[in-house]
Amino acid sequence: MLGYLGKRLIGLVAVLLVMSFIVFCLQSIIPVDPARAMAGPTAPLATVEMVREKLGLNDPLSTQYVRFLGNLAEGNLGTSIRTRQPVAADIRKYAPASIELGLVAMLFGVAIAAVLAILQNSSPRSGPVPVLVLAAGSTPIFLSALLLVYGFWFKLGWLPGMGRLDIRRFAGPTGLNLIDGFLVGKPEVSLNALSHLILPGLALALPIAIAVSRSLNGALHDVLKQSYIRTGRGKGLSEATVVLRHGLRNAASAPLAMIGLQVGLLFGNLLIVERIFAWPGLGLYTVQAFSSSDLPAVLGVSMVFGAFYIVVNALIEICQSLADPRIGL
Amino acid sequence: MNAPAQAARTRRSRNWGHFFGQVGWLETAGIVGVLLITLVAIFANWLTPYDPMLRVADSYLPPTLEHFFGTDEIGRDLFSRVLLGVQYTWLPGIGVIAVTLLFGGFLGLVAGAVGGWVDTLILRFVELFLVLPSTLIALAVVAALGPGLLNTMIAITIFWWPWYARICRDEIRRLNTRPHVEAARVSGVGGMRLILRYLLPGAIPTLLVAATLDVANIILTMSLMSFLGLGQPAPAPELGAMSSRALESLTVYWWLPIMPAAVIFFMCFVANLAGDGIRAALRGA
Amino acid sequence: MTEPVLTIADLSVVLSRDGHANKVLDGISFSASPGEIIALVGESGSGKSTIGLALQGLLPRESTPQVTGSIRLAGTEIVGAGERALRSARRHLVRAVSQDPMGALNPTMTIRRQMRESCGADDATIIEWLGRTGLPDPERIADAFPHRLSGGQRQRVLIAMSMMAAPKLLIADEPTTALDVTIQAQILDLLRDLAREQQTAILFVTHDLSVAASLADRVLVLYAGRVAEIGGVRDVIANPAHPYSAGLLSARFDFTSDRLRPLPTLPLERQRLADAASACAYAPRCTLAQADCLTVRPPLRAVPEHAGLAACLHPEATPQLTRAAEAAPWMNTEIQKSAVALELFNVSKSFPTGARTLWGGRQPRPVLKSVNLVIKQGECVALVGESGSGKSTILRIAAGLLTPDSGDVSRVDKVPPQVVFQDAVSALTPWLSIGEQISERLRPEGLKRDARRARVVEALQLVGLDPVLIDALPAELSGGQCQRAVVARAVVVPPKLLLCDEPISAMDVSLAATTLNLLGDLRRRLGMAMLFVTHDLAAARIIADRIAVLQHGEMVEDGDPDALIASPKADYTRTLIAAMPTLHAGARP
Repeated sequence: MLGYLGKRLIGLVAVLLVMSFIVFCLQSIIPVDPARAMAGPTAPLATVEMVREKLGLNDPLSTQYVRFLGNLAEGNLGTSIRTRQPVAADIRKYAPASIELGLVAMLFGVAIAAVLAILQNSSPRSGPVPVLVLAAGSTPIFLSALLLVYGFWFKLGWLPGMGRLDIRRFAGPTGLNLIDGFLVGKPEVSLNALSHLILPGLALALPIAIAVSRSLNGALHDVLKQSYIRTGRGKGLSEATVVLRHGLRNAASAPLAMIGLQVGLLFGNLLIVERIFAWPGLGLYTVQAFSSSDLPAVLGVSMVFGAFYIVVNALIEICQSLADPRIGL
Repeated sequence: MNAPAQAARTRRSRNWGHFFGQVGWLETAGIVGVLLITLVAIFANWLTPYDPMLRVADSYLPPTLEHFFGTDEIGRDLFSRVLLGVQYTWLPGIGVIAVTLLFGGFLGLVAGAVGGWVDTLILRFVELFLVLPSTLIALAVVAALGPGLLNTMIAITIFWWPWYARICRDEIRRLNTRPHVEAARVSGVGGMRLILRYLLPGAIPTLLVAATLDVANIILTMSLMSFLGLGQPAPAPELGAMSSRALESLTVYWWLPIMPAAVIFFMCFVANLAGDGIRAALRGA
Repeated sequence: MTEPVLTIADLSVVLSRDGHANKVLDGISFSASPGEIIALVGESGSGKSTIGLALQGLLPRESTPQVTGSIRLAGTEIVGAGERALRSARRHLVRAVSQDPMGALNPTMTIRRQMRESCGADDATIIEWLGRTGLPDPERIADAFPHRLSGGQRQRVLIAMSMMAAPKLLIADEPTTALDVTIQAQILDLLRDLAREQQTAILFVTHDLSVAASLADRVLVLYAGRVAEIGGVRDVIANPAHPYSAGLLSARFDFTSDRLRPLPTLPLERQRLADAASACAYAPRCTLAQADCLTVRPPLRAVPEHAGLAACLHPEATPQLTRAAEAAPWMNTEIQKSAVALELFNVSKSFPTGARTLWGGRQPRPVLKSVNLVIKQGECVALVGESGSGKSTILRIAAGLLTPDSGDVSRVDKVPPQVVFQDAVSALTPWLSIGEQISERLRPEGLKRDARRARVVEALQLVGLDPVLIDALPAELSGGQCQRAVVARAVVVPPKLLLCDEPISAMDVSLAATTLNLLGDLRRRLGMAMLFVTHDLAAARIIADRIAVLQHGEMVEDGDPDALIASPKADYTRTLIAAMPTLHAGARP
């Protein structure tokens, strides 16, 4: 067990180093000169040179990479060109909104995936459900987001379509409005936050739900053909018991891996959904960084999110081996 | 005893009947649709009813029979622009699939067929790519290289081939231990002949299914980047960018952001149907 | 007579696949008393497993089963029963032990939880039952996951799991085919004892008449979904009334079969039945068929031969079959004492096993421990051993597919040895035609296309395959035809040494006999030496000039087949011989 975890940990560190190296390389190959960008387009050449020296851009690349790693370890991700703030501070400021939305989307996604899997298992193979699932899986995220905004906010007016809250200037201890409302004793704030979360949450949940339900279905389909399932049925267990107790755990590996993959795709989708819903989170921050060529911000966010993704997937791999005793720990 | 001989002779024709028996009309329509979309994408320049770059009518006309998708803020025909957008999205998508499939498939074939340290080396490299957050790094790469269609394609290609390398390698390894490949070895088949006649044909169906089902994924990823402004700059009629630029007019001129997105949906849906069809056909056969 | 626990009356099952309806069972009727063991015997495709599934109400839903007739199980009607009633019947009345113990236990659940699920028993009962099936250390087994147990142990767990629910009927569907002979004997004893103790009736599905003979009270012979014959085991074996039963009996081989001439086989199907509903299903294969056999469906009725029933219009003719003329004996083979076809000297091999350690290394487990084996030219040596004995490893080393860790392998021939694999279907490449695969071996000879084709046709004729199959894909061939194609590939350029890896282990009796005859004929005609790897001593005795017994990677004994079986020197050989089921049960120690 310890040996297994040790090996996983070594692998994890290696992948994180590679990730950081890629980010470092991207930083170094940019066509824009960071010193020039820092000093401003009108600054004299001498000033640019001074900035270059100050940033250490004249050092050999290996030295720069070691310094880059040292900065990373201290949580220093550089300074944003657009906001003129440290990227780490910006991320801390905008992360809660994205974490809240991302978590809600994951929750919605897995819940919808479960419903879809049940629907697909109880309906015939050629019925309308598979075609609908296929259609939903073919929808670009901005189309579903636009349709949700247009339908439920603009046409029907059932749910709010923009921003995190109707109230201005609310700041709670965690930054997650859904929880903060209760923490500071204003449950109406939480409810308001929830109503704002539903549409963007659904838009983000859709691709997750489709992918997870597809992989769950595929795995379940194979598992239910195994002969231990027949043993279970032969014991007189009900179909639900057979599927849930004997099928689900054996089929868990593929959908778990798929959830891990979706965490990665979720970030790309967050950029779009936050832009469409004017959601003040990391996604919107990154989109604005794109349009103002704010590379330190883009790379900083990429590094943080990439590390998060790698850790989540390592955890999922441990979950997979816990679910299957045949994989030696 | 003559029945098997006849069966052998009519194999080809029966396979087609079998194919459509397995595949169902919706998936068949998908396969036909993919071919049609490819034709439309190739000949888009000749098929546009109006010049997609010029003002041809009043601004903000809603969809009519004259202008199927209405007109945009400077009176350009949206349908013509979208048609050209299909070309800008579909052909690069197919191109990326082809390049990643060839490159990944080749590396996978080498790893699986040669084995030993070559396999270990390629596999470690591939797995490293697979645990990295690919969409995210692709975004960062384009942000660093600067926006543009070619950069988008390069970034996606870099992070897409490892999937095919892994699928191909696993499939080849699996085949390699199968009795029929061992039997071929015992019969004196070796080297390139073994790889090309006994290993590769067994891996191709799996790769083909994965690739057709990925056409939609590639198109979605590319349109995502285009929507974020990482694709070809302004006047180019890229579908994602068209939708993104018209975002603010959603509540007034809904067709401007919705129509290009709907066309992306249509392309992906057709590609997915075709992928399902090919999967069903190859599984059944 | 006690009240029967199971009464099946006119049971028919139609299964559909890809829109083709197929009548798998056709008017089956029989009954079973408490504690009685009935063997269901038939070739693959005879519908014997379908009966078990129909009894449990577990026919695969995707094949839209249509069931007619009646199955009364301890007073409960199964046909047409609702899901709830079926579930209750499965829980309390009928249990099953499957063919494949490796897959029949949930890999992610401990044995204890799976046992508890069976009938809600408490821990003490679970442990007691595990002990009763002869498992050592039941506490440890209860807490283990299935992958830690051997096949025999898993089968015992499955039997305990079924029998602890005290069912009225147990369906055992070939429960021992995946197990070694010595384990098979123990499992059969266990089933017999438990059935006696608990008065549980057992339906024992098997394709092996001698297994049936060593266990069952009555035997039911199935052919094409119909009952051909039913009666007391000893009666049917001594005086079969149905030509099919007689054929099955003569095609099977054991230690007393004549090994100097080809084995008798069942005749092949000569034509298709125009109207199967009103004809004897066996008529197209029956050498005694008369005109009325093709127009009248024979009823199952009393026969003069024994107290049972048979579905044959002319049972009085059946005894003629047993007196049928015997085949001409094999020609004498010449074993060239001086010339060696294969020599293994001090060959050792280990495989890594178990989990990887932190540094990626794994424990090596020795599979072969300095094995010596010499095969003279023209000689056939059978290598007998149970699973894990290393017999397949020897074959793969001889074929050059594996290199030994140490020791010398010498083969004295320019044509490398050829292999006949265990599973012929998977030994053929699905996307290449039979002809293309056979002609791969002709490539070094640099022949023209036409000449190559002619040689392939010759090889096909040599193994008794119709040459029109040269362009067929493997999927268009039957299992027996695939086996012949594999042999044709091996002998198109006759090697000095032919290696056979359990070629008959998954075959019906008749096909097995045919294959043994084919191999025996070819090796004599082409003067090939042969290494025949098998777990079946009887088959080894039939085919080989010499038998070598392998246990745990070591040669235990070798010698002339008849001498070795008559007076085995090693204990292990003695155990193997004793474990072989024979037709004349009761004589077993």
